[in-house]
Amino acid sequence: MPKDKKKEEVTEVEHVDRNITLFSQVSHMIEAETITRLTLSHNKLTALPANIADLISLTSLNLWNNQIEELPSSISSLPKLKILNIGMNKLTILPRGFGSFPVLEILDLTYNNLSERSLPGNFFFMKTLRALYLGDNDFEMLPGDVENLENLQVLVLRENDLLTLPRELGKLTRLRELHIQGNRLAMIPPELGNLELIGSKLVLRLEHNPFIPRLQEQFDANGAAGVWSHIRTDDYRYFFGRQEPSSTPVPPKRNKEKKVSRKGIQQA
Amino acid sequence: MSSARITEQRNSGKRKRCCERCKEELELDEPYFLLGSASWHMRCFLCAQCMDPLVGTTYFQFEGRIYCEHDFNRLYAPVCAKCDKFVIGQVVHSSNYSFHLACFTCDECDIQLNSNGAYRYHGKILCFSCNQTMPKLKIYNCSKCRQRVEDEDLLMYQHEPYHAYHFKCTTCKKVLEADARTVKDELFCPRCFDFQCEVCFDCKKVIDPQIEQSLFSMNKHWHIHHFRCFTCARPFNGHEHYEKNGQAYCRDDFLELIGHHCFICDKNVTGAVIHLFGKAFCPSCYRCRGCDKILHYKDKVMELDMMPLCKKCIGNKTFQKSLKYKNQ
Repeated sequence: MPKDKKKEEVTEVEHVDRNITLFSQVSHMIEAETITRLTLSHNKLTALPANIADLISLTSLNLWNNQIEELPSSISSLPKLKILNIGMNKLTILPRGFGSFPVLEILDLTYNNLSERSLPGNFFFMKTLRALYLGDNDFEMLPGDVENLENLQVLVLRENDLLTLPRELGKLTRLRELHIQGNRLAMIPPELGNLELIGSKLVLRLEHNPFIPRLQEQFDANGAAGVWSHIRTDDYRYFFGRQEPSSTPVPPKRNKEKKVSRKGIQQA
Repeated sequence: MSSARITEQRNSGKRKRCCERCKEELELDEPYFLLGSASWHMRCFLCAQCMDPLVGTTYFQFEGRIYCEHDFNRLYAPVCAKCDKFVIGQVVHSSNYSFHLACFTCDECDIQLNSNGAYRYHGKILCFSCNQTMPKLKIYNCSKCRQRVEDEDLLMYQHEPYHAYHFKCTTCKKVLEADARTVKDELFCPRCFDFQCEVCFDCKKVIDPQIEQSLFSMNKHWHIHHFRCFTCARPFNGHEHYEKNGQAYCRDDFLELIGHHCFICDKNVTGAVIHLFGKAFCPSCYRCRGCDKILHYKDKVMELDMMPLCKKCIGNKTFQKSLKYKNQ
């Protein structure tokens, strides 16, 4: 372990790639009440202690690439936490009350085993959330509650198993980035046409979805911009409204047996 | 009445000076205060009411005596005719009344008045429009034809009552009605009057200079409350504005627009802004999404969900394994 300054002076602590298996291995190096940034990426933690909530000044917590399967519900009481990164772990469920973070702005849950069933009831009520990274998970759908994330600017659902998108996504007027590439989407609700996602500093990623022919043709000819202007047409709105719920066969999921985040898969 | 900061003088002895308060002569080379033609010993420069020294403070002068700010206001500040409180600072005088600037509003419709457009009516103070709609106070006889004038025909011109139909519009020669307007000494019908007025670029309506306040900016005219930020619609109210693409913005929305709002800390960027991945970052906020290491804009990174991943994190064995699984 490298020499650290006196405990009281250090407000940013990082122990990256140090083979840490237990949080207690680092807790004595943390001044609980003053620490603002804690980075424990690339380690072997499997859980966090409930007293993580004692870190009352923490604004950023990075646990990228560990082996965490479960989080303590006390984590959502961290009063100053703005950035939480638990990407590349082994989460299958989020604890009750996970949506009650008071000031969380950026939440990264990329590459876990999460689905719509993993989310607690209050998940979508985080009004302060600006960016939500859910790429590489197992979502097949999203509840309409997503409309409550009023401040959301970035939504990443890359490479999940989404069959549909909720029309309520069209109400997220602040959205600047929507990543829905690599899913099982056949169509896009016309209400999403309300969102301005074509232009500089705006991102719309749609590729690698089994779109119906009329949308795929638009994509092949004019890219995401073509798809978006098509879903805004009266023609498409009428067509979408007349669809029977299960008229198209459900595309198969990818084989995820060997997905690194699954339990039992050894990490390198 | 005046209030100002005063500076000392030194008695050069060229002229005999006597102190205004104690009437004694000033010594040679003695510092003193000069107010107009009156001289004051520094020790005699006191508030006439409370005797506090006024040296180095704001003072007020009235009828030959000097006062501190507090006593001057208590003795001489006008009382606002609307809210009955002392008016300190900006005061509006209209006929024999005084008002706070914010109290100088129409009694009927509450719009802000300016000195031109205030009309007295039965003890109330009204704007031009409300005054027009009130029933007239007196029965007038036309100064031209000497007949009685009904309310709906009444036109006041140069303080004399007339039947409006005796006059024609200066521009279009149309016979005038009671709603005719006066500019200097010429009469106009409402339409020709509006033609002479500027148009507010925001609401596209005429700015009536006799009733409304306007300002000129970006080569256009605006109602005072219509010159506002294109994003948040808050009027600039004399504060600075920033222009882009022919639109005006307040400071925060301008910085937001030109992309200097940091994606991570959600504040305007401190330091040299980094523009990458369609976002802006403070130099201290541009970090690897995997390990939080602060990155330089030139560092080679992998783009994952439009966020950077540093070389070390890309090379991490578990991450490489996850990529491999995806590409099966």
